[in-house]
Amino acid sequence: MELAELAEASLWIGKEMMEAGADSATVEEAMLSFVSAHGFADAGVLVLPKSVLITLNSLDGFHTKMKHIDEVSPNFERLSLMSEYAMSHKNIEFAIFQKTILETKPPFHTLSFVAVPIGCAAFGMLLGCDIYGALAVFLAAYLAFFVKSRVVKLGLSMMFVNLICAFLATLSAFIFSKAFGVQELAFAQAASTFFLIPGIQLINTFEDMLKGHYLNGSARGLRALFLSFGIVFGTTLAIVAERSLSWIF
Amino acid sequence: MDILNPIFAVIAAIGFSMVFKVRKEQIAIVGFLAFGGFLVRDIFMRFGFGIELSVLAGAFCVGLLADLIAYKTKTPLQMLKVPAGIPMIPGSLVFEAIKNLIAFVSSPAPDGLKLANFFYFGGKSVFILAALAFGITATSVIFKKRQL
Repeated sequence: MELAELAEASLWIGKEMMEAGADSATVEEAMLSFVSAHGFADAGVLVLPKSVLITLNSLDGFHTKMKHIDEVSPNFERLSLMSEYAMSHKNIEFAIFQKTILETKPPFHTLSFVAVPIGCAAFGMLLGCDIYGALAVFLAAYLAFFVKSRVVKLGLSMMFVNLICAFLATLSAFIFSKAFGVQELAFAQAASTFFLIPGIQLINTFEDMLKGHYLNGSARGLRALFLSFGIVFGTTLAIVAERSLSWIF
Repeated sequence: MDILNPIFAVIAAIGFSMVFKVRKEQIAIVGFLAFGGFLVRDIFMRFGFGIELSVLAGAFCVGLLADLIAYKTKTPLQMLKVPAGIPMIPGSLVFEAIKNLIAFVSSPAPDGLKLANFFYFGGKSVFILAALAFGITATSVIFKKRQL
């Protein structure tokens, strides 16, 4: 592999891993492992919140390249495959591997429309919902998850997507809970927004901070905060909107 | 219902795994981790430890087991830890905090109890979230050299 090609390939791996939800140390490790397997043990990697950089040193000089990182869209299957490829030095040509990755469809796409609301209902049971409460959570989460899958395609900011979905989930949980005569209304409403929690951002914030990537950790923490604001604001609007429905219930 | 809690945690974790698109082969491991973590949390709570300490212990258990499994199976740690730890998030406390804040802001006269409740539930949520995140990530720092 040529110097420029290798830099491009390792940057692609880094970018895809960051976008799939990896922490900074894992990305650095994978990129360095990939280039060292191709004979460039003397390399430097810099992972920033919105870009990755690599410098490859050779006898003729050095080659530095940078790639921009887009929005994080959790895909642990992709992350796992990329990490496996970069770390285990598999003897597969990079172009073939890249094509395979890009063509691999995310797992459980159809099943997730049922499994995610079931997960939310189980979370509701953990909080203290009864079976009718769990049913209300299931229906509300199903509706909000379906809407999320459509709204995301419009390319809106994730904070706004969270706001819309939290509003819809909380309000529909209220309506379904009232219709089924659920006592623990708050538990049902809290559980219906469960799937919106920015879990990766929260965990990666700590992961990056503890491993010394303070800048990336802070950026992720801020992002988690803004995504959470979206949920809180959507929930707040729904609670306010509930009052205008009091004439029905 | 307490005995069933770890089972519900498994279902919730599996549901969350699908949001994160975890590999099919890893789903069972995520379920096992969620079960273990929630069981430890429940045991600690039964012995009278506070919710914060119990979540810290449960999250540490998830992190430790995930670290060992990730080392054996050469899997990125996040893939196992994140969905397994999520069921311990204090959803109802956050919701109560929001509700009390709205009630305080929209009441005709200042109500100290509502404001106190907001800070109580909000503060408790922050502590639990911090315990959860720290418990899950602490092991990857302790076993830094042993990762992939």
